[in-house]
Amino acid sequence: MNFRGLAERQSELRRSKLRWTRRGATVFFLFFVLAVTWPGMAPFNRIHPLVLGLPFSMFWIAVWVFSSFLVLVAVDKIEGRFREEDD
Amino acid sequence: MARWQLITVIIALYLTITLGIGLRAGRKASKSVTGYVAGDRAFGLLVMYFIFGATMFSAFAFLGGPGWAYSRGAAAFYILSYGILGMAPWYWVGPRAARVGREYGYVTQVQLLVGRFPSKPLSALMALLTILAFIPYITLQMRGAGIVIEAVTDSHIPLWLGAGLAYGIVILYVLSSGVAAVGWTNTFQGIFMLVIAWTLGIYLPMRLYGGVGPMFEQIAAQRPELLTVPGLTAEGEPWTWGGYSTAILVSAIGVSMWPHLFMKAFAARDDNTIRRTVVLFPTFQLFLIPVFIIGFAGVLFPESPGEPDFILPFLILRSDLPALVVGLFCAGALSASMSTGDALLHAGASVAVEDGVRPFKKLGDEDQRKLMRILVLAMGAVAYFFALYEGVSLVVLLLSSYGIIAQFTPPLISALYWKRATTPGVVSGLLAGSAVTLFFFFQSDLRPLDLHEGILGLLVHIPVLVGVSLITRDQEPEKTEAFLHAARGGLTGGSSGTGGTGAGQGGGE
Repeated sequence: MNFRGLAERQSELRRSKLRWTRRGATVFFLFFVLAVTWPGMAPFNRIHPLVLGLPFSMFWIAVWVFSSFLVLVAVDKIEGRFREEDD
Repeated sequence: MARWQLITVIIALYLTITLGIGLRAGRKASKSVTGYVAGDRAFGLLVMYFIFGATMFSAFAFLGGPGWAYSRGAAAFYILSYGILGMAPWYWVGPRAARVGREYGYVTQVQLLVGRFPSKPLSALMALLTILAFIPYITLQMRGAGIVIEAVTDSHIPLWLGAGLAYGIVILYVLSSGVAAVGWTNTFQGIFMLVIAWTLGIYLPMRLYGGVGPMFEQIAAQRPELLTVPGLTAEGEPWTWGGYSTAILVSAIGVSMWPHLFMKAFAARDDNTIRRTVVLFPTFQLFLIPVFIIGFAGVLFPESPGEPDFILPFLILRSDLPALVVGLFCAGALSASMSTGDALLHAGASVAVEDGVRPFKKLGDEDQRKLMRILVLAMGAVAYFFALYEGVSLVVLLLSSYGIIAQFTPPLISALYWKRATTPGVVSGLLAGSAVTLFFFFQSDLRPLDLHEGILGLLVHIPVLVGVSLITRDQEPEKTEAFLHAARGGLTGGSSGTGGTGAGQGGGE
């Protein structure tokens, strides 16, 4: 009975970790959408300064694409740890 | 040996290697429908990575991308923005679709949809929409291949012959090896595209302007309107924020619903392969940066090509590059065209047979494979015909097909996540959404704020789907529960931690 309770609590904890990871990722991608469309893009929509030779507007979008790679790597790490093999 | 002859030799070499890889790939695949359509569900990470990268970035990205950057400037940045936005939800949706596919034996996305919402007309309607969206897409890929070959061989190989040759090879390997050929040739072609794009993207500005930074400084001084979003329209007028923003949205919503991409969820070896493919996708997507740089390199070039889409071959031919580089570039462009074209031909034929014919007529495994092969040939022939007698209308058709493909998203998401969705809800949502999309496509002056017609379609589609589902009777609750149970991966109980839609948990048994 006690053992069962513990296992259930662990499973609950595991699920809440997964839930928070997914919420976090969703929030990141919502910000991504906002940052590359109107009106979120407007303040960053400029030519100078050139970064790595690219106009700032283009660099700004590239940064979001690259960050999404990092975010997804992190998501995959966390999910891999807390996901049960059949979840 | 004349310059064009050397280039032709390189292209021939490239085509031979592709054909060899394609034919070899099929030797291990089983002689079943699952083998032909879904690669025996055995694709690993390397193949999946390049299938998604190389298939999504077609001749449109390789030729159209520089063309957009050249003529419309920052408008092209929308292409850079949407890819991963569309792919990221697949980290969760893809494994769900794959699990249901394994459980019920689905090989196409329409089978999945009809498995949850049984309806023969729905199956036929989806198959029809798929083929209609595919034909102009394949045609454009063929033309792209023909144009490149014609341009770099000084018209010694005309468009009809170049397109015929390249696609003769595609059809040969798709016929013999099915999706296994698509997978392995895409891997080869994907590597090719990446290397060529990055090399040329750095080399061309160096050669013409002394570097990427100096090039953009010069453009900023002479044509600053090209470097800030939303850029220009095709007519050279400033584009609207509404048009630019909703182009990103509709592409992100639609991109993973293209049947030739969605179906690859069923070809993956396991769930982790799908997840890793999504994680790595942005690294492929960044190749659009050098692609745009190539286009921008043409902006200050004194002469201009007849059509913006020709900017890449045009620049290549005018900047006195060694024949080897030109030949390799050509092979890169062919890669982009063929890696999308093969996936389209294969998926189109599979969908036509599995979803258009089989629900109405019983067919054995052997007959299905035979019919698919005939249809690969037929679709190739139709597209080839259009490729030779082309008008602007095809490009327009392709752009509008994104609006239609985006309408596949609500039904498929509800199939995998929403218990209370019903067949009448899904069918009426799809019809209403497609009708609105088509209406605003033909009456584009009526679109509020220049919003993309596909987004306007979704604004009607979703409420209709939800509304009609809620007023119709909950259908076969046990069957639905079993379906969603399989989607969750067999976890017991109703509460899996899967986030995502959060759409109505109400309406119980």
